[in-house]
Amino acid sequence: MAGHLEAELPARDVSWAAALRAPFDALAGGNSAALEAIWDLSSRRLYGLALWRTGCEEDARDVVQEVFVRLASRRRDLSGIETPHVWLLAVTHNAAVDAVRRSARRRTEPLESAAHVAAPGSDPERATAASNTSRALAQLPSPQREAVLLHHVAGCSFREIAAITGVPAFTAASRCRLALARLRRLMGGSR
Amino acid sequence: MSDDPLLRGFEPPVVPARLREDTLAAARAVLAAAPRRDPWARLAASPAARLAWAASVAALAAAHVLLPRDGHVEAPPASATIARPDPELASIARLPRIDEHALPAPEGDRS
Repeated sequence: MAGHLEAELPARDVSWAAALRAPFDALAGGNSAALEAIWDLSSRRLYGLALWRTGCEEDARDVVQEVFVRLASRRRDLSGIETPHVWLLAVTHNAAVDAVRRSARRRTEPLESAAHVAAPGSDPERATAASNTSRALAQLPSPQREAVLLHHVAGCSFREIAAITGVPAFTAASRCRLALARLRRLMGGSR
Repeated sequence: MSDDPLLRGFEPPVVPARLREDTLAAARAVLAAAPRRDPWARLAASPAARLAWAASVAALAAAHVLLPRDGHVEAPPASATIARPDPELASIARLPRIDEHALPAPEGDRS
């Protein structure tokens, strides 16, 4: 079912996932310089996932730091991980869920000021569009927002999203479709 | 980022300044820290603990060789205690009313 749904959606960028294998193995072998390579390949996606899940830049920063500390502390186990990008995203997801749980008491209303997407270059029109999209994304439920990011930004399949978030693949696909449909409605005026 | 019309042309959010330095520094600190070993590994690596372990094994082996295997302490023969009872205990245990050699009280003496 998930494969059928994926066939209807646009192609995804999965090049970063394959590129993570070499620095993961290097880090497992004790090469600390591999941390920088992993950062360069994954930081924006991991930060994006943390931000889209928590809705808070401060929490997202803490989550990314926690992910890399965990990466370093478990370096001996890294060579046995088959899909490094799924492992990184799953650790990020779990840390973000914990962060939301911790900060639920102090946060009274969702933050909509976070820039969920960025526009490349300095085109003011694109920057405005990115701001509008960010505001629309902020109105989605965080599980739906997370599914969109994992599929369209991180390039994960629905099976991988299921492994990362702990839900069935069909649920992941449904969340993604519902999120995009709602996003279209929210942005109907600006598109 | 994506070929979906809603998200086409956008990129993931920009990582805040200094997050890279802070995060990599924290991760490097974890890498540089000595790996924490479990108590058994630390025990095996400690010269003092290994010496104590070897000494205790040697002491047990020596005791096993040197001490007699059936060297339980002999109990005194039961006849010895029966043949010479403690006089004080015997006097306490002897009840006057059931003593065969006790004389009956004189007639009229009820005090």
